[in-house]
Amino acid sequence: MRGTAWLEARLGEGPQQLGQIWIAGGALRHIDDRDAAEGSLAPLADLAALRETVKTDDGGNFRPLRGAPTLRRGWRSPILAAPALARWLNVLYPGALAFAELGGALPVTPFEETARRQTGMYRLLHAATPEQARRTIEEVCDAGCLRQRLWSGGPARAEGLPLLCPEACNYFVGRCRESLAAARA
Amino acid sequence: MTIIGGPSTKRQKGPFGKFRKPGLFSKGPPHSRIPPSCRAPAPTPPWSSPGTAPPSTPTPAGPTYRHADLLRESGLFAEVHECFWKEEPNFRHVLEGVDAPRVYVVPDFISSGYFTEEVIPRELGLSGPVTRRGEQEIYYCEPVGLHPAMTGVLLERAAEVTAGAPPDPARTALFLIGHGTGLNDNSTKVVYEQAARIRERGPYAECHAAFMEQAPFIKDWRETTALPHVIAVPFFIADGLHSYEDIPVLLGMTENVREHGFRNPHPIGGRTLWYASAIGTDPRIAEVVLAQVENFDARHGVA
Repeated sequence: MRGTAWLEARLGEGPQQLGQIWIAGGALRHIDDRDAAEGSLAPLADLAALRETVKTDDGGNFRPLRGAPTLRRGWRSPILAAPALARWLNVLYPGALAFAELGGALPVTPFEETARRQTGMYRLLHAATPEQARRTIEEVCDAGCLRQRLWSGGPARAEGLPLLCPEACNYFVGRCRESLAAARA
Repeated sequence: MTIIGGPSTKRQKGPFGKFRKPGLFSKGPPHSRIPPSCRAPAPTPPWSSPGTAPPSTPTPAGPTYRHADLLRESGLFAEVHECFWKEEPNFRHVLEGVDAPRVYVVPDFISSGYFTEEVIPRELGLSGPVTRRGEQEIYYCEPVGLHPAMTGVLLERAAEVTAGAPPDPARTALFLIGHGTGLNDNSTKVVYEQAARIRERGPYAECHAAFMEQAPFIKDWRETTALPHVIAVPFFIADGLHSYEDIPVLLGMTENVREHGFRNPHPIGGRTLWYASAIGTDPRIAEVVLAQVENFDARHGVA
């Protein structure tokens, strides 16, 4: 998986933070559990258990954005070698390691281009104005995602390793469509 | 439009024939070789708040994750990724995370149509069955539902669901249930094709294709067959509103499947009905993914 070698190099420099995750000693846990005793954290056995953990927040609400700062606390991963660590991190923050490794070679897609290629029920986005896109950015990205938007000049938001966002995601596209549909109604 | 996604798989090296070991994922007692995390779905729905507006609705991605986990654990590929339309990881940027020089993309879809013909190629930047991008070759395979191996999966599912008290096959009708839509013929075609293949094999006296929203309607099953035993298998990728609620009502079942799971059989109007979960939840679909990869190699002369 792309990003594995990059992760290994970063871990060679010491423990790291990626979004809300603390990576130390080959294991993962929530950054706010950094100093928690190991015995106080529930061990997650596998990727399926991790997927269950990232699916909802503390209140049981679905997390449509993996970049949302609402990751549950109270768990720890097993001690993993770099390839497995990369797979676990790819569940927590899909694409993050690959995007970081690509760095300047990561293709960035402006929102206008994302909007233009939509079809079917998302064709509505062809009519999105910069103002409507800006409002959705405020609601979805600024209010609810730790990733750094490269496609609209967003600020670096996360501490630690880079958490890059090269293009408006499908959740953003869906939310933007909802507001366009509501404005038409 | 309930399920989106499909693992993109990459072969490491070696002759591809080694992937076609019969029963790679299903040898022995049902599912005995499959790790607990990948076993057939629990009777409870795998997501928490169905029925709310998309795209904030959690999608039933569970089966695709389970198939991908099985393929990962098989060790046959250097990497296995999964991606989805509405859920993360999205289709759009999944290929950037793939290091391997050769990538197979297998849609975890029951039929071809708008998503497999338009959305997935567009989002992944595919130019045809084979796309070359820098050092990488991307092979776009057919959806799992189209492969002839699905016939075997359907028959095994029918046998499993009746395992407690198998009915006399000579007095049993198998129904394959599709959604049915006037928008795209492909989604019904695949159900008819599978029903025809099962009739050719002849394990049951009858096999019918039936649909929720177009004729022949599944709600008319009592007129379609006069046989006393009926097995109904939804030809869907994931369990959800249709398999938990709509189809049971159309079949005349009174049990709440979402709450109680797939308990069988059901006595209905003097007949006996067995009802299975969506075929796409079957762990053997992971084998069908492999079969589609092999099929691609054979059709496109990939060495």
